[in-house]
Amino acid sequence: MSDVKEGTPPAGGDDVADRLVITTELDPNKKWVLLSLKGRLDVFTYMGLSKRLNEEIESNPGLNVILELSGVLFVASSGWSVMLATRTRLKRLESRLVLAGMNEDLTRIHSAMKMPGLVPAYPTAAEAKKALAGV
Amino acid sequence: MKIYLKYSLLLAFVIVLSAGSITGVALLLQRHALTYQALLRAESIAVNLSLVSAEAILTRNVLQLVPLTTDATTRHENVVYAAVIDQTGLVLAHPDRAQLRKPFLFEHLANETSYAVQAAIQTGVGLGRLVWDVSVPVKAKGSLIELGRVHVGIDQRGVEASVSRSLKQLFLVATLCLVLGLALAVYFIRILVRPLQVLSLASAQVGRGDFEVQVPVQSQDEVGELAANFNQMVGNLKAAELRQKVAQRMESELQLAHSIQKGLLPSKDPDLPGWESAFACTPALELGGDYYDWYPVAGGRKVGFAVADVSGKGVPAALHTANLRNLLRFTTAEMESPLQVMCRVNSLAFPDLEDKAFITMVYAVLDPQTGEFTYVNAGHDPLLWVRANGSIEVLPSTTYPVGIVDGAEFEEGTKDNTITLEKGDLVFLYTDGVTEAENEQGKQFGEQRIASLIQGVSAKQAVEQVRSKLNEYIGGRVPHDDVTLLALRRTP
Repeated sequence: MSDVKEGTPPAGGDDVADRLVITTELDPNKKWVLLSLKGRLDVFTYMGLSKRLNEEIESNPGLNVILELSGVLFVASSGWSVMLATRTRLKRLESRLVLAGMNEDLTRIHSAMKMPGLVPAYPTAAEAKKALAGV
Repeated sequence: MKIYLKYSLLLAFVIVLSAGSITGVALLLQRHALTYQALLRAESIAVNLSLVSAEAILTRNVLQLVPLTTDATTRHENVVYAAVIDQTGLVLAHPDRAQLRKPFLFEHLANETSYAVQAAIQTGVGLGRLVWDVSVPVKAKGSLIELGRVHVGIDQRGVEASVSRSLKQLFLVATLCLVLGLALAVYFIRILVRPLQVLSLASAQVGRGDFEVQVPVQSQDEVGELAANFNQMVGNLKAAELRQKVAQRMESELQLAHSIQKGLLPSKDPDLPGWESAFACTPALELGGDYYDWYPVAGGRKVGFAVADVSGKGVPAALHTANLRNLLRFTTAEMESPLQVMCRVNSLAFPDLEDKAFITMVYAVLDPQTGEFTYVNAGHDPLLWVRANGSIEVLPSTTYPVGIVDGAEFEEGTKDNTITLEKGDLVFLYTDGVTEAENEQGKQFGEQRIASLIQGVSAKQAVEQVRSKLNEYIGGRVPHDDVTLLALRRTP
């Protein structure tokens, strides 16, 4: 059984809370924590994601993080910045950040920025979990 | 009219009404009391006379009663007469001896029953005056037989005069109390109203924009609460004014910064015979993270072009943009190869950008003589190469954005890419503010739409058409990202 909790990013207050909804799932084997995003990851919501990621990393030190993006249609450069900063932080903790479920547009940008070598991406969250389960 | 005057008049009206009512009732009671007192005195005189009259009548020695009746009229105020009459109504004793043995003269007008006395009281005229005639029967001791009656007349006008004197004194005291009460009322109302006057003056000061004013809180009642709330309100207004000033200052500074940033863009296109170029740069906010510039390279024989997009927006992005401009100007003056320039810029910018931001960028060097166009695309949107024959080639990113990885890791995956632009060929560079612009349905403008607008047109037309169609596409809404366009075309 996974521990599932609902959450919304604090950035921007209530008026933008529905722009990005974050759902967290914790691996019972303590290998990974999965954050499912739904909405837009833009200049109004990226701080909320950043804060939430920091909280999860502090609560679950040493765990890998999966960002599930199948519910995200748009990621601004600020959003990619948050992912890269998280990747650096996790690397110092000897953990990894992986992405999952990106649509075609996001995959194209992800590749254009040469990010696959830095932040790997998997087609689905299940595949990401499977890959991290063996780490 | 001042509020204390209003309250004073209101209170004066209430006091006068109350005092008048009380005084009126007191006057009536006083009048009744004085009359009752006079009638009781008359009854007492009559009873005393009655006691001595019974024996005098039985001993037929009634003349001895005359001095007593005389004494009653002289010793007692307002007693007009005192008379003893027999059973037949003849006067036996009277102060006026001429009335003796004559019928008792009294013109009856009415019976008086308002006063609780045992004697019979009538209103009428006696000895030419309006009197209350108070009479009691004369009876022998232990006998029920009425031997005669004693009549005592009380002058009504005399009693009225006494009542009037008493009432005048009462009225005088009441008037003095009324005046004193009014004066005290006005005084206390002024004291009560003074905090309101202070509040009124303070409000006027606030109205003139003075938010330093505070009023003393001198009581714990509603007026004290009002004063405390007023002070809090003024404090809030002061804070709001301060916030507004800060916001205005920041807005002013942002406008100034916007002007400065605009000034950092090249003021003119490079002078390239046989070539045409055009660019447009529009920040989504006051300050943007997009950047465009050109530089003379290789002693002016070549021209370097840079189009960059710093992640994020606003002041942080603008600061990184300004830093990038200096790094590029410095680096391009020393190096020719886009690869070398990009690596140097990355190594210099990396410490400032790491984990905070990154820059996607295209840096290209054009040799106008040969048409050789050498570029490095660091994580940026693809370049569009429109050939004279109408075909389009998409030139994607070839390395990491600036600021993500350092040193060898960056250089490892980076190389110069060279294409040769023939006559009629056009290269189009843009930032993601163009491709990711959304219409009302949330659909992005996209790369294909750009490609369809830049075929077979001049550099200037390419920029203008994309800009125009982009504005049309987003439907007049404020763009959420900076927009930068650059077109470079070799004239046919």
